[in-house]
Amino acid sequence: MPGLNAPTAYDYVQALYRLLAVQSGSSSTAESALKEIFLQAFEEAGKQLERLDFDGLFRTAFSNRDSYPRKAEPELNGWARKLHQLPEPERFSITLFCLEILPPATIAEITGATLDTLAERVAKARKELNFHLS
Amino acid sequence: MSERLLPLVRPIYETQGEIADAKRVISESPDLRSQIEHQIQFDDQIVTALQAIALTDQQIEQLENLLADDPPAESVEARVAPDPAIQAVVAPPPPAPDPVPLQVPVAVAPPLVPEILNPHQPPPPSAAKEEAKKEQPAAPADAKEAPEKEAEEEEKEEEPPRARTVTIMAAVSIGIIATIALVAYMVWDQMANGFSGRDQVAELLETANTLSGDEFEPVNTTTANLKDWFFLKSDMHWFAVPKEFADTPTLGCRLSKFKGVDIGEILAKDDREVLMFLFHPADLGVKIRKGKWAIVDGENWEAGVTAVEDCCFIVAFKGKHSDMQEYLNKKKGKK
Repeated sequence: MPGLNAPTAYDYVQALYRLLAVQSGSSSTAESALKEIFLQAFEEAGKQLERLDFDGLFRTAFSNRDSYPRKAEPELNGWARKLHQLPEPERFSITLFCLEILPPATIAEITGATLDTLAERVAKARKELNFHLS
Repeated sequence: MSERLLPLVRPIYETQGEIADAKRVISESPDLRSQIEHQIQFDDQIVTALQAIALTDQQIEQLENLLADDPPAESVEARVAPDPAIQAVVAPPPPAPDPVPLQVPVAVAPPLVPEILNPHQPPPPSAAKEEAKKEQPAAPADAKEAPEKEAEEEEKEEEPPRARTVTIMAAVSIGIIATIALVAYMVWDQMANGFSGRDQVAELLETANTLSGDEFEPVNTTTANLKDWFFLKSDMHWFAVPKEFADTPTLGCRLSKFKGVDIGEILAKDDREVLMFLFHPADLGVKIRKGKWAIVDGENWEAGVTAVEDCCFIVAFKGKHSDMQEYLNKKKGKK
């Protein structure tokens, strides 16, 4: 698990890929989208990795969240499959939350919500995933 | 305010401002504590499932190469969605500069500045020689002196220059030393990490690629307490874990078959999430000295392998060889 204090570029790329796989339900679509988003950000950073806005990668993924049709038969299993079927913005919120790459305050900012709203969305997503508080 | 943020409580976020406040509220209420533990366990399953989705090293390498390719802005889209069928017939790209390594902390990632040859820089020695030759002023048109000078120069060139001999000797010596060092390293590596049945372990590791986390039956205890659990599932009387892993908290367990052999699998989490495999070594032809740790580099997984009593114990995670080395050293230090 990448530590929140020092995620590497590698951690960000893997996290973005996971998020895109959940959004698109397809590994090949996720890989293409990842390259597109990452290369675009890399260009904008003047091709200097240390200037790249890594949080911005997830901002782009959020703005593209509805561009992938939800698949009845995604190439995903188990929990990832269940996440894919969730409605937005709950799907994005809980997936990014569970990717443990960005602090909740940043996730809230990316999704244009307050922390309270993010908490509500995450709780709602858990409920849809059949989580019951005992 | 803090209580509304309870859904955002996770160990990794506990130091984050308002989440830390929410955590404080929980610590004051046993009911809330129990609810949050339940919530964390639920989220752990999702976290584990998400971590199972990962780009392979090869895909990462492709991305690094794309970054190094320096594509013009308008061609980005075309480059990023390659059709494998089309890719196969496209001419290979010209030699690219070194790929941008992604497996480094962002803070220290090197800038991708293509090395542009400065026209004002002095040319390399070989080029300078060539230029010097070209720029040599024409010899005086003395018909007699010219052939004599040429003959003298030729003689000088034919003499084996001492400097060149020294260079060759040095190069050969370096080559020999490098070869000896390589052989020594290979022998050392074989002694340190070699054991019989390594291929079986590598194959077993690859079975973990298809795991989503759902296959595991939730069992919250420590690895040392799982003997009865596995004994009830299958006659695993040989079940044993190394001392350094005895107190590792477990998330789930399962029994699987690999080549007809019973394999105990444990999903556990201490400093990081790990997958453990346990089996009777003779069943898979694995021979490793008890207490000796060897590292096996799988395609996607790194594994530490050892034997305890009559049990072969493997601890694995996705990472690099050096990560596993560091992890095992830390574990051995804690023992």
